[in-house]
Amino acid sequence: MDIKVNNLTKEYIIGDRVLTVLKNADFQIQSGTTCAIIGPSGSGKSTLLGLCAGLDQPTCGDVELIGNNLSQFSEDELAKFRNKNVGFVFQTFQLIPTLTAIENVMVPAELLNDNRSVEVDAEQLLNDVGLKERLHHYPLQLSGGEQQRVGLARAFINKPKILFADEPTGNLDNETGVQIEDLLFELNRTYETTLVLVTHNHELAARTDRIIKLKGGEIIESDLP
Amino acid sequence: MTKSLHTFLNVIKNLFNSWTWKMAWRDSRSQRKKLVLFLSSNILGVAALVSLQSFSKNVTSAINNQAKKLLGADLVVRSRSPFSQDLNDRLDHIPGDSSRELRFSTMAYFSNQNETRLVQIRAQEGAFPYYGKIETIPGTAVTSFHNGLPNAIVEEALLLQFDARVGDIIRLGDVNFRISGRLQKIPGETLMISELAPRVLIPMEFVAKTNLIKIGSRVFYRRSFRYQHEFEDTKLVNELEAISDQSGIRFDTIETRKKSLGKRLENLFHFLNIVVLTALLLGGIGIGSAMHVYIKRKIPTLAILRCIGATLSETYTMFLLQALVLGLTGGIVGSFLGIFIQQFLPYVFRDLLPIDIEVTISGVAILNGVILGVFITLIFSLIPLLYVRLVSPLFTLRAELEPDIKRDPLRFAVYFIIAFSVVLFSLLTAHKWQYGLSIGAALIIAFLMLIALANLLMIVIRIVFPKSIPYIFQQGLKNLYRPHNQTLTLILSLGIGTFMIMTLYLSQIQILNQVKRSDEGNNPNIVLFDIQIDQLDSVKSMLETMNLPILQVVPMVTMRLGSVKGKPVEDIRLENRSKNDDNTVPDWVLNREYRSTYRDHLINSETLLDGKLIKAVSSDDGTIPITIEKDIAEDLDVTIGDELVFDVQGIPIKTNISGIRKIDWYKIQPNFFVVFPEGILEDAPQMIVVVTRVTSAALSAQLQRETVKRFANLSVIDMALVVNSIASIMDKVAYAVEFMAVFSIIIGFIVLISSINLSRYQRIRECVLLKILGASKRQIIGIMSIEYFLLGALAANAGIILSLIGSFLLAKFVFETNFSVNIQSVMIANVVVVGSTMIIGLMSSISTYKQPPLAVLRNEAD
Ligand SMILES: Nc1ncnc2c1ncn2[C@@H]1O[C@H](COP(=O)(O)OP(=O)(O)O)[C@@H](O)[C@H]1O
Ligand SMILES: [Mg+2]
Repeated sequence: MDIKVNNLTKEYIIGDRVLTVLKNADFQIQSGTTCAIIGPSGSGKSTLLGLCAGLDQPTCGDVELIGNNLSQFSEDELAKFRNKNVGFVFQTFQLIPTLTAIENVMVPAELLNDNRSVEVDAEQLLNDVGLKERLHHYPLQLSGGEQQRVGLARAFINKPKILFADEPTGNLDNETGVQIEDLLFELNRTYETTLVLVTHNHELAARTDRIIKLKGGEIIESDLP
Repeated sequence: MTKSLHTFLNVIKNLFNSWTWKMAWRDSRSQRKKLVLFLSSNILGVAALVSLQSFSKNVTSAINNQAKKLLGADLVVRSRSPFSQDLNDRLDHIPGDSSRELRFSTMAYFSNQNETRLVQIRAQEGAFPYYGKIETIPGTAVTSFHNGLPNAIVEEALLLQFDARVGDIIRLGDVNFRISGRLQKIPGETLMISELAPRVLIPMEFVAKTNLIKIGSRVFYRRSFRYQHEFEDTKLVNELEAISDQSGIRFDTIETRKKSLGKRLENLFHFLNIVVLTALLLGGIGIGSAMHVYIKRKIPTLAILRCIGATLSETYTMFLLQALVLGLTGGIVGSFLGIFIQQFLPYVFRDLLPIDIEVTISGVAILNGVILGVFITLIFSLIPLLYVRLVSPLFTLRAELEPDIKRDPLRFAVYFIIAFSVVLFSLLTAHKWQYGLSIGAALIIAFLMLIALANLLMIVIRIVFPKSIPYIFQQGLKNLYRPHNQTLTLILSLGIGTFMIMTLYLSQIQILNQVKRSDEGNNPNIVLFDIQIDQLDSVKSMLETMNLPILQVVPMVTMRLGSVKGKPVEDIRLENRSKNDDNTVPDWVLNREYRSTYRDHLINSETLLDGKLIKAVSSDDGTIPITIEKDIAEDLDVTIGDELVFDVQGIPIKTNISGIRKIDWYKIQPNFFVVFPEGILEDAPQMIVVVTRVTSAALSAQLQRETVKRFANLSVIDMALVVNSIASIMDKVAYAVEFMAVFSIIIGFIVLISSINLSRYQRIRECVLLKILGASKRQIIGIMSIEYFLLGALAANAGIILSLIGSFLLAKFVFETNFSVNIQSVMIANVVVVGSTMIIGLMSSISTYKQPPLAVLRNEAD
């Protein structure tokens, strides 16, 4: 099991009101499989993803990634853990505007600081996502689809065990979206990554092994494969 | 706590991590050119500091190197009365050369021009100065000075004033002197001296013939010595002091002169240090606020980095490094600029310094500059760096989240560090820790008050602005509150500059007005002094024929203190020397020649604080009841009922303090520390002062000419001249101070330009939106103008209000003058600050208007 979510709850206190955004989420995802989290806007998908990736602290419950309970980690340890084992793809691409495409891809590898030849790998990956010609372009000089390709290359540079994607095609037109989806699943197969994908696109969700449906912060359906 | 410490240690560790360096470098890439602009405020602050520090080192070493020139001799003995025979005998035995000099004030009459003016005569005999040279045009005037002819070397400014030339005649008393040279410089003296009493050098042998020195004339006697061999002269001076056994004799050695000058300049530089420190802090605020906007823009980047695995300390270090490099650059460039500016300072301070300053570069000052540049940048980057800590990787999933430092408890620690550093800087630049502490506190209070005032004014504007005002006014006002606004920073930086210059200016006006006021109404404005008793009647009749009022006739008797509360002054002086602390009676109070008067009433510059005024006594009453001025009473540590014995030309007179008076010194007329009752001093040798009032400069000139013609030994002081001299002296000091204060103003405008640059993106977007919505160019420029107008007005008036408070306090507690608001200067400050803010603001914004809409859509990350 790569991901174990136990009784996960997230509450926000606004004024004197308690807002439960996620309630008793409980599921497990097997290594190497793909899983989609779907649900209407505001149903808590991003919240769940953030908690799974250790970007946020749950109110109660815990998350275990590849055998490590996240609550045992300090913030720095979490960062290092993510760096090594977790990849991210975002709806808004989230490239660093001051870095070129290849530099953006290299950042996670450079952070690992293990002296491998980062540049060759980054170049290879960008080649794989079809951006061979645009290595030294800045995000502003790239279209949305191209930016997301860079995002994909960055997500895979450290060969993560788990990949979290929050609506990766949400900001793209249909055609480009489909191309990115293809690329995502292809890379996922190559690197044998466990993929957790947040989307409200049912077609996209259908391409995964498994679907978790959220509504109002509760899991209403979690079909096991 | 341990967590913060842990992060802190990691930050240090990461300073040696190549990734942080690499990222810092890459990250700054797009902004580097702009960073230079933001940096310039820091650069200027450092430059101001380095230039002043380096220059003050030059001054110190000039004092040390040119110590001999400062005095012109190895030893100068001076007194207000002729030296005793014993002293003269001993002085004659000092091996080496010696010179004599008499100094006194008198009226000079330029016969070719038919003009007169009060001058200071220096009758010289011997080769003084032994060190340094008197500079004249022509240079031969000095070498041929003692050729037996009635030569006079006359202050250049005086010759210029009367359009007199070398070769013209100047009459002093009964002798016509030929002007043989224009006096340019006497080593060790500043031009300030020449303001009040222009110097005229004549050979000693003609003094008697002038008939100017009469009983009661105020003459300074000097003898100067050059030792045959250099030697330690402390013992000699002690011996001379013992021999002189007579108060009022001063011995100046090179060492004492060095010390007294050093102390005077220390005060000046101490004050300038405050000015420069303010500039440095403003520079820090400027760069800090630029960092603020810069880092806020980097929040998404930070969130991404954290999300993909950078630790907090790594991201922190990344920005710390940028701040560090920025500070280092600012420090280095600022230091070099400072050295460049230093080259001009000798000209700026020329009139204030009695020596030639050789500009050399101080390594310590440069090092200080670099360190301070870095330190200031780091300290003021601490607040924006708080954001780094508050950015959560979760922001990548939820763009609407924003860190809020207003809720971060750590910000108090940061405020404390900033306040602490301000005090630390003041401590480092001040000579005494008490000064440093008080300056630091004062600076912090000034900054806080300015912030409070700015906030208050902003609230007032919001309330006062009616809702129904035209759209462009509303929009202009709103602009002050736009996201990432730097309104407060701007008000602070422009306001502090305004505050400093205004305080300086207001105090200057305050003092001048106070002096001028005594020239108004029916106040006396002409003083005739050195009148002998037998001349009094003719002087009175001269005034009467000229239709001038005789406002006061004041007799003056010179005397010295013999004992205080039964203790002889010599004993007190000896005690002082052994005690050597600050609580002793100052020497000058003991030594001075008291010129006292006698009368049965108070005059309009006096108020009786305590005790009573005895009008008259008869000479066989024993102890004489006198009144004494409050400050000198404090210095002497005496009060009502205490006994003072005065030595009136050899005769001891026992007195008893019956009253204490306060004097308004700004009313320029004969004022006295000690006033006797009538009936005692009438027969003592005395000199008389007559006070009158003229209604025009022409009448004053006429009176002076008439006086000189008929009573050569009389001197005339014209209040208008005094006012002019004081104004001129204050101008010279103010010029030097303002030169340093201008740095703050420039920094204020740099902060303005960089803040406009920082908010460029928002401004462009506003512009484009307004354009799309159909606003005309005129409307858009109107909105901008309103914005800068409000900004300038807020800053100017916050600064002005603070300066009014400041100058009120100065007037009340330091200058002891009446305070009144000078509306004119308030208006001028408003016009200047608001005007330049609008001009600079509009000029730097104009490019935002010209941006085509498409560029805006593409340039999102600008
Ligand atoms: N920091 C927060 N404070 C309060 N409410 C929040 C916060 N973050 C998210 N929410 C709320 O939690 C709910 C779920 O949000 P989210 O997980 O982003 O939904 P989704 O990704 O499914 O659209 C929303 O109603 C949102 O308003
Ligand atoms: Mg979402």
